[in-house]
Amino acid sequence: METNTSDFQHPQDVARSARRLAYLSRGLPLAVVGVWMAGLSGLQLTAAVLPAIQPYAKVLSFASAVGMVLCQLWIRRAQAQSPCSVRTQRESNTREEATLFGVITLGVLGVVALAETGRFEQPWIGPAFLCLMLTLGGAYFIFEAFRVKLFELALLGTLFLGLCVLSLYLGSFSQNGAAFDQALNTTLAASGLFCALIGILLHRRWSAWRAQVLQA
Amino acid sequence: MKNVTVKKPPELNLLIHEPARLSIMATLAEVVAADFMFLAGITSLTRGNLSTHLNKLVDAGYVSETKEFVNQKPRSEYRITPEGRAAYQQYLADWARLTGRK
Repeated sequence: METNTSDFQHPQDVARSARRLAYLSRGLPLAVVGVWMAGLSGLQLTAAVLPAIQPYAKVLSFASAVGMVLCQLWIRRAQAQSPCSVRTQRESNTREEATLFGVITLGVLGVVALAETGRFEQPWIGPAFLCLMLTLGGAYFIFEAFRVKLFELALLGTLFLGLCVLSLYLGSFSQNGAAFDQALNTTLAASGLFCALIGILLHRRWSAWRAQVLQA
Repeated sequence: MKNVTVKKPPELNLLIHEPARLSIMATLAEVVAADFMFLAGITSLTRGNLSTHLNKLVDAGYVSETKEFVNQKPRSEYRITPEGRAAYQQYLADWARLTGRK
């Protein structure tokens, strides 16, 4: 049984489609993280206004973090067992992603090592490192967006780069603790909602493709 | 008379060269694992056709198959094996050499 050559798809195109679909399949976990991030920041903002709920807010934050991890595991398991599924393993099987994670890991190890030996005491190191990571993440997602032709990934990259600019801006008035906390939580709440929106958009496209395949 | 040595062109792995199987290998090389329906969707092959091509790749040891029952329904998951990945990379290299593309 041989396939007609007119059906030929270039391996690069097929690989790109596979990669694109793998991103789409991760929409739901992304939406969950976004909702969690927005909820947690909203809770912190509310606790700042209503001091009476502050002790409960801490417990709720911890419980929600555990709940979020469990929810991610459950989604991952359910998706892996559902018909028409694809699995990726922290994207470490491709060169550029391995490079990105390698750079991040080395960066983290470098900063930790420097902090341990007390080589630096400058307060800008932490925010600068965060900005570097966000810029790398943003640049990576925008690069991927062009590569796999996925608009939502470009949005995600823009979110990362936006967060980088905002963290630089917030860092400029970090002397005022309360104002800094409020600005940070507001930013995180907005980012969480944006993240959830991107996740929902990705998931909708994944569901549409999946439904089409299962009906065929 | 000067001896001219003609380099023999590389022979393509015909098991992978077939378009449907090439699509399957390209997909599995990109992801860690994919189930039967995902592969059917991405390659646009009919289920019978896909099953035949997958069996050939499994028999050659290029792809591994895991079968399980989820909610009393059979489900097959496929992964590229290290041999399969090496053969696929070799195929791509041979193809690039033949066509003069890098």
